[in-house]
Amino acid sequence: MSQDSEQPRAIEEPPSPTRGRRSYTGLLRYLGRRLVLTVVLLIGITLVTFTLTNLVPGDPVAAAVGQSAADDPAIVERFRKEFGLDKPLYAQYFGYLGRLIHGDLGTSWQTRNPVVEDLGKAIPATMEIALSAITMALILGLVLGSVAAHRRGLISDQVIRLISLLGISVPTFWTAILFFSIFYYRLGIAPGSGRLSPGASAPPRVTGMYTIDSLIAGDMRTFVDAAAHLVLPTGVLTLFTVGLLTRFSRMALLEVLDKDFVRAAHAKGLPTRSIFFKYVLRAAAVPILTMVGLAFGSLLSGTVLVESIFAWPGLGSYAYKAASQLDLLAVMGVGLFVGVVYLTINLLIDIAYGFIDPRVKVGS
Amino acid sequence: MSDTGTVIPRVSFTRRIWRAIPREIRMPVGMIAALIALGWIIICIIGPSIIPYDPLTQDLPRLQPPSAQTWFGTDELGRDLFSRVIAGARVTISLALLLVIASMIIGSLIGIIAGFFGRWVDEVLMRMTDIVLAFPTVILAMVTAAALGASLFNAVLAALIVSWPPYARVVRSMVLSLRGADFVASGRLLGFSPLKSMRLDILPNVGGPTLVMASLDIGNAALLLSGLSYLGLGAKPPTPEWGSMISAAVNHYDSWWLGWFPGLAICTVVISFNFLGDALRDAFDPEEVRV
Repeated sequence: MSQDSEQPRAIEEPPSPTRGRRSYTGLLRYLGRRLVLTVVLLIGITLVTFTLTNLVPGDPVAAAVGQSAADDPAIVERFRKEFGLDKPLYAQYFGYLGRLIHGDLGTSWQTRNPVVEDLGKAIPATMEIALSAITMALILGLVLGSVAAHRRGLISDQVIRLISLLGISVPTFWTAILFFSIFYYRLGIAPGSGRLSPGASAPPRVTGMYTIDSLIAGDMRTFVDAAAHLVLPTGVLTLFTVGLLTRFSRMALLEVLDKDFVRAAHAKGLPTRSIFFKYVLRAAAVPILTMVGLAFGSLLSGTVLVESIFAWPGLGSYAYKAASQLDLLAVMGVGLFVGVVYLTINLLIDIAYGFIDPRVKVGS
Repeated sequence: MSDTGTVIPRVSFTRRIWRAIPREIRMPVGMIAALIALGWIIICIIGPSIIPYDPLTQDLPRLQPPSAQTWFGTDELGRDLFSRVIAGARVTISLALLLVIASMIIGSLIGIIAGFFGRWVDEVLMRMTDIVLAFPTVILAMVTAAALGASLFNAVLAALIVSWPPYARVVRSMVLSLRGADFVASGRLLGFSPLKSMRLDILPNVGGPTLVMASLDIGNAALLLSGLSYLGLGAKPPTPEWGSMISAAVNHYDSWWLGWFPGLAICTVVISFNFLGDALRDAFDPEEVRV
């Protein structure tokens, strides 16, 4: 049996002198295997969603057309025909998979738009918060984690530990409401909900992220407006993620700080600062990077609760509306997208291992 | 079985915890967390009999700020918020415990079966685990809860679907390393059936770390369940549940107490249980439980 064969294995022996020529066939074979696995997982995601929404008592048609219309057999019949629900389940499912190959995710019952089009609008909005939150969280997490690791057991370590536990223990939907009511409602220093102030028009679309698009268009007013709207939702998600990353960086750094080569570097009289940046941080980068990938995945999930409070028209709001309406195709679309992101990040991280830590050979 | 150092010893979990407690209890933060967690458990048990008002009766003036009569104020329907927050402890904490225990049992069973039998059983079960892990947690739980219909029990079921995989992963990897251990092999030589081997040799050694993992998971479970209720996919309106109480606060920003008290309740529960779990992990064995 292959136990975790898809994980790159750390090879304990010292690097051989011929290691300079990296073997790319191994890497390609590894990538191929991972790609197959990814496709299997994505099909699994569609299967799970499809089964869940079809086997359970909830009636998607009633949810989509409303209860009063659902009592009218003619409307129900028309709806079922329009969305192919009159076909047997297996035909519906394989029909979906067939269209999926062509990049067609079907039509949302709720918005009556193609799911691809809806996602195209929602994804950049969510990415804008998620990317800024993960960047902030990584910087803060590394700083706090390093301080805590260096002062292990001291009072500052305890305080940081408390803060990071606080970060992961506070419900994001609660901090979102608190932030909103304090900074917008009471103090009035933050803009209200949405991505731009009422009346402001979106910058011409390039990436779909308003801050970047407005910079490209050279429109500073829109940029400031968009950035100001970003602050609160980003802050909420950062708070949550920073706890995770601090705890993990501390753990990863502590492990490295105990290693012989660090002790040797100290004995050699190297300054602590350069030991930290040149040796310790680099050695701890692999596990920290893994955690960043995982944290990004949970960040995307976490946007569901945060976006609804800030009326942010992103993936989370879309997924919530879709799920509560049992809008099957829209939910599958969101699930597939987040699944792809999650799996891609993990793949990239696994490949990056090889570059950060030459002892790890991908594909061997 | 043997007393050479290489064998993983069968040590009772409770004894290891017992030995570890005095050292941990000296840490002030851990101590406070333990007290808060204990306080919440007591509130959970005796809460409904000590609250001053009925949490469901709407006979007080609406949206009153905290006062000597109503400590946490009253909500938008004229109910005493303090009574509702206290009554909510039983809902959230007991369901979170139920969820954690259920996902621990299901996840561990799947992990043990996968690790013990290996081959295609392992392959199928682990790919299943991967699928659930790759699916965004909140969204999958949301879909399940929406499909099953909003109710607290369905929210637990939905949360269960997303919470077993980490247990399966960790238990499987422990079983894989145990399977090769001498005392398991000697059990097999003695003619243990797979079931007996699992029960006598595998389970006692897997149990400890899994329990620690579960204790770290209680806070998460409470967060997930209250999040689902916040979205309207869990507790139905009159039920005093913290998540749904917070969602009611969204329409009344002037009445800060509506959101603050249930929110603080969730925070203290999650923080104290997280600290307890953290202390348990440190005390037990930091190496073994890492996910």
